[in-house]
Amino acid sequence: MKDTRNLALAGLFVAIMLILGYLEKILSLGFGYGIKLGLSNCVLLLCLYWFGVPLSLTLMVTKVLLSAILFGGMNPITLSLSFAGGILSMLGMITMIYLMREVSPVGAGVVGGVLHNVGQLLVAVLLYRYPMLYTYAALLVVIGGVMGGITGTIVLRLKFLLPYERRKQFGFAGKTEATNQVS
Amino acid sequence: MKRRDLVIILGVVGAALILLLLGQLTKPRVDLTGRPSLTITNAADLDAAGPLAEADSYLRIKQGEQYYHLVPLNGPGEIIIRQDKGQENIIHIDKNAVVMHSANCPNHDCMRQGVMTLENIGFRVYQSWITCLPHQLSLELLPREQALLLEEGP
Repeated sequence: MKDTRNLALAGLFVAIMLILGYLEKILSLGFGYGIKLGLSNCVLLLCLYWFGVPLSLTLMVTKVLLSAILFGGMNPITLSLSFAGGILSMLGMITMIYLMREVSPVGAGVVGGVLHNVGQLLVAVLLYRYPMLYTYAALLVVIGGVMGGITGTIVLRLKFLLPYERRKQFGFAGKTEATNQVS
Repeated sequence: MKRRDLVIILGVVGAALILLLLGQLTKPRVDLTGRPSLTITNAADLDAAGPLAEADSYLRIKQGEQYYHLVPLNGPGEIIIRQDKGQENIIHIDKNAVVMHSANCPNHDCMRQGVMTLENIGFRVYQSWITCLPHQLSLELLPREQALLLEEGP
């Protein structure tokens, strides 16, 4: 029963991620510097809290593949960049959420955003011989952090959506929740 | 926001500052590799000018691992680069200025990287490069002294 619900939700989340990714693409938040808000990252972060690691990783892979098929024309370069960014960012967020204490979704989002850009840059430099530009890397790190902070804040606001036992596990329920509602 | 969040944010800011510092310290590297064969359609015109024609700056074209022409930037012109699988980039050049005019790559990031001039490479985000990642094509603007250094190489 619960598995079925999770499966349906997972499908819904993939759809949401694809739509968000597409909207960002056509609204061209790109500026030509590879800067994106990464709203689909927000969904992945929420999934990590909601479903745990294995399903979230599956969702990430599904999203990357589907958006490559639908919007990217299966370009191997963009596909490998997306994968590198996605995997590194997921690993960072998993570490923050499950292995570190005292990190809120904002911190996890920042780590995820920065590592997403770092992963892409690493692949571009190591695999595709993109020139290593430290100024550009600095910009990417800052942008990743800011955008990750925004997505993390969104997840922090959406934590009431999580099932009760998950909220309890991550300390979102009970005392902190009560104080948040008062303030 | 919890306690560790601040540590993370400070870490990100620190990393960015270090990278920024590295960016200021490292000048674009000069590789002393030779200039191999050509895939540039109007290569003959470019050669007519000769790679060491008088100019304040030069454009060096890199595709994949290989370096191509050193184009003197002393007036308006157009460079068309076609590759085996139909990739095409059209570069417009002017005195000490380069811009990616058009390209048939999927994302067109190279075209959004704007005009690169001898004056603005010091503070441009991409420094002295315009890069088209899907076509593995990099354009580097070299001041005259760096270009001369290249020519003297082995």
